[in-house]
Parts: sequence; C-alpha cells; structure tokens
Amino acid sequence: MNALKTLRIRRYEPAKDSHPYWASYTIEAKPKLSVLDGLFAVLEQQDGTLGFRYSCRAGMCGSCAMRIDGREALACRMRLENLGSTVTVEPLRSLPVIKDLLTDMTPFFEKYRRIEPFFVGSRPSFAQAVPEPERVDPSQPLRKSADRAIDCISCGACYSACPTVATNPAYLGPAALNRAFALAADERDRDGKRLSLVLGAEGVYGCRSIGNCVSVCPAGVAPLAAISLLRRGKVKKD
Amino acid sequence: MPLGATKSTGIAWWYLRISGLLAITLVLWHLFVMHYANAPSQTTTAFVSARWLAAFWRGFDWALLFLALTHGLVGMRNVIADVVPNVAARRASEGILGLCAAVFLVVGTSSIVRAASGIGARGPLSGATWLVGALDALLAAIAMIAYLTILAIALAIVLRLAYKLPLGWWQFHGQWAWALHRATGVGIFLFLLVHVLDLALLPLAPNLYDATVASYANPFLMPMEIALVCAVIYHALNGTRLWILEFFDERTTTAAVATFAGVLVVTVALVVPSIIVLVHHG
Repeated sequence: MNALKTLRIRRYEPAKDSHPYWASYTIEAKPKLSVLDGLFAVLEQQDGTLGFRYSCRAGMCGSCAMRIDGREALACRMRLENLGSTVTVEPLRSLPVIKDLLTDMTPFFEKYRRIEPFFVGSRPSFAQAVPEPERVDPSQPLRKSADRAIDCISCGACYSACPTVATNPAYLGPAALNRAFALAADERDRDGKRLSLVLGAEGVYGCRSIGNCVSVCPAGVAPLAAISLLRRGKVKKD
Repeated sequence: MPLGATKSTGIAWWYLRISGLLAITLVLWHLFVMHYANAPSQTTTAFVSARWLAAFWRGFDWALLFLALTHGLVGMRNVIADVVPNVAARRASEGILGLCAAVFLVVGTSSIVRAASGIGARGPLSGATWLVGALDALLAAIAMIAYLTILAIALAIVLRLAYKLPLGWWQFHGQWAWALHRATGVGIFLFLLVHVLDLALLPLAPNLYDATVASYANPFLMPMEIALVCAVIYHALNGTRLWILEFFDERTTTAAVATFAGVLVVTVALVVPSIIVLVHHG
C-alpha cells in the first residue's frame, strides 16, 4: 500500500487573494515519487488551479526551485518518501509571487545581468586571425575554484535562502556574485568592468558570510567560497 | 558605484577580520585574568591600580580597548546597514556611533594614562555617589534587554513549532552562527561602553569604583556575567571559524556545520569553569 502524504501548500494569487493562505491536499505517494510528481497529482486530481513551474524534471534546469519544509530545493529532486507525513511547500522568498509556487524571477535575473554574466573574449572581431588558441592550465588553483562555480543552474535557491538579499534589496545576491567569480577567474576573459561592479557594499562586501547559500544549493555550488575569493582579492584583472 | 564607496567597504571588511584576529588573543587573556584566575567582584580598585602601575598591562589594556572599540564600531556599522534602510537615518546613526566610539576611546585612554602615576584613596568625583546607582541602572537595563530578547526568541521558536510552521532560515546552522555572532557582538559592544564608564571612576572616584565592582555579585546581574563570558568566547571562536571558512577552506560546505558544532561545544566547555569561579566567590 502506498503511503498517504499531505502537501501543505502556500497558495496566493495576488490578483484574486487579499493575502496568502495554506491549503492541504492528501495524495497517495508511490515509491520514488518526487514533490514535483506530488504537485502534478494535486493539479490533475484535486485542484486544477494550482500554479507551479517546471521544465526538465531531472534537476538540471532549475525551474522548480521552491521551499520544501522551509528549505530551498528542487521539487523534482526531493522524494516524498524521505519527508514526513505532512510536507510544507512554499514559493521562493525575496521574489514576487505570480501565482502559488510560481515566482517572478525578474529581480534575480536583473541583478544577474548587472554583473555582465557573459564571457568577453580577446578577439575584437572574428575576422582577426588568432595564431594559437588560448589555453587554461587545468591544475591552476583559480581554475579549480571556478570548477564548482560554473555548475550554477540559476534556480534562485540561494537567492531565496539569503537573509542579506531579503534585508538589502540592492545586494546582488549569491548567484550573480558566484557567476561574476566564475568569469573573473577565467584568465581569457577580458571584461574590465565586472570586478568594479561586484567589489562594493552591494556586491561581495554586502555578504555577511552566513552560508545559507551553500547549505541549499542543489548543484553543489558554494557561492560563499566564490564571494570570499573575490573579497580576498584572489582575482585580479589588469 | 563610486570607487570611494567600493574602497571603504573593502577596507572595513579587512579591518573587521584583522582587528578581530588581533583582539582574540588579548580578549581571551583578559577574560582568563578577570573571570577564571579571579572573580570579577575581586577586581577592586587595589587590584586594578596595582595592575596599571605596570606599563605592560597599561599597553595591553589600551590595545584591547582600541581593538574592541574599533572592531565593534565597524561591526555595528554593518548592523546599521542591515537594519536601517533609510540612507539619511543610516548616515545619522553612523555619525552618532562614530562620535560615541571616539568619546569612549578618549575616556578609556585617559583612565589608563591617569592610573600610570598611581591611584589615591579619593578622586575629584568621590562625593558623587549617585554615579554608582546610574552605572548599576545601565547594567540592569542592558541585562533586562538581554533577558527580554532571549525570552522573545524562545517564545517565537515555541510558537512556530506549536503552529507547525517551517523554521525557514532558522533551520540553517549558518543562520544561527550569524545571529549569535551579531547578538553577542552587540551585547559585548554595549557592555564595553559601560565598562569604560565604570573604569573611568577608578581615577575619578576610587571609592565608588569598588561599589560598582561589588554590584557585579548582584543576583540579577550574575547571569549576565555568565552570558558575557559566553558571548566573548563564542564571538572569538566563531570569528576564528569565519576566518577558516573565508581564508583557508574553499570547500566551505564540508567544514561549515562541523566547525559550528565545535564552536558551540568548546564555548560551553570553556564557560563552565568561569561559572564555578563566579559561584564560589559570589
């Protein structure tokens, strides 16, 4: 017999509801069922108005990040059998709710965009001939530190878990700063502005070294480590 | 972002780390002398004036005063940045805080300098007995704030558990480590200000100084003394932990939980002997 699980979901539709409220749904949890599967069971069998976001269902896209029992996680990677009989599901923090578990990621990506999150190469144009491809020594310490930083899937879990993001709306947040580190640590990158954008009170010095970002990251990234390396001046650009 | 702002926040961050590291040895030594080798109520005028006749202890105490005040000042600036969103109000609070720290540095320095030539039996303020009451009231106020805060936090946790609300951030060890670091930091800073004031009595009114020291044995304040020892040890150990996480271990994930548990265990283990000393002499 399959176990019965109660999903206690924080529901809110700003256009309709005056304030958020809790709604509970009891579902049959087959072995290996994920929280995301549980949400689908609710959507298909009990309440077709439930709002949530998902895409790959395999922990790679980062779309289904939400708070499960108060802790930021990917709904598709959390198995109901490993959780209690009542599972609390809430949307990410510090982001406006569009509907129920669906948050508007705009503030997150606006900050992400501010740090110039793209690689800037040395070639002014494709027409210019490059005699030799640029190489990065894989054993170089900075390259090794960047290894984990590049695994970020931009799900927003760290952004939600960070109390500094909640108290300081200007703070860029762990994901954007981690991305800034990953790019700055790449010696081929020629962006001259990025470091000056992140080395301030709204950037790495706004971080209070709490480390919730490291505790929740579903991709095993340690944004705090990236921020510490930036603060310590381990990354320098000419 | 203007470059000036960038530079000053960077310098503040480095200063907090370096001053903290320098202060750790001094503060633990100070704590050992005042709370382990002696009970606080034994640190009378005779005790302190004899100590301050030695240039080493004057230099030691001044260095500790300077490091603790400036470290506290920069730390409080972070607290203000986090809790005061309004820019004008933030600048005003920072100004008041800076002025306050400067005044206390001057008061503390002058107490140490005056003590160099020895402390007499009476000073210019020896007749102002109300000072003892005022200092006791300040300490009692800080104690009251601390007790009420602890009570409010305990109540909030109980209510959350009773209503089965998720603990949110409070389920992360880092959140507790940070909140305790903040709370102990603010508490130590407030105590430091009162401590500078009571030591100012030493050259100005030595007879009254003994009365303030005696009030440390007051049952309402005694838990605060234990809390103070706890706070200093925790703040020092957790500061060391932050150094390890930020400077040595780039694999922050693996070290964070274990080191926090270690900090809590060592704090409790180190506080116990000071409680024995306190109760024994109380």
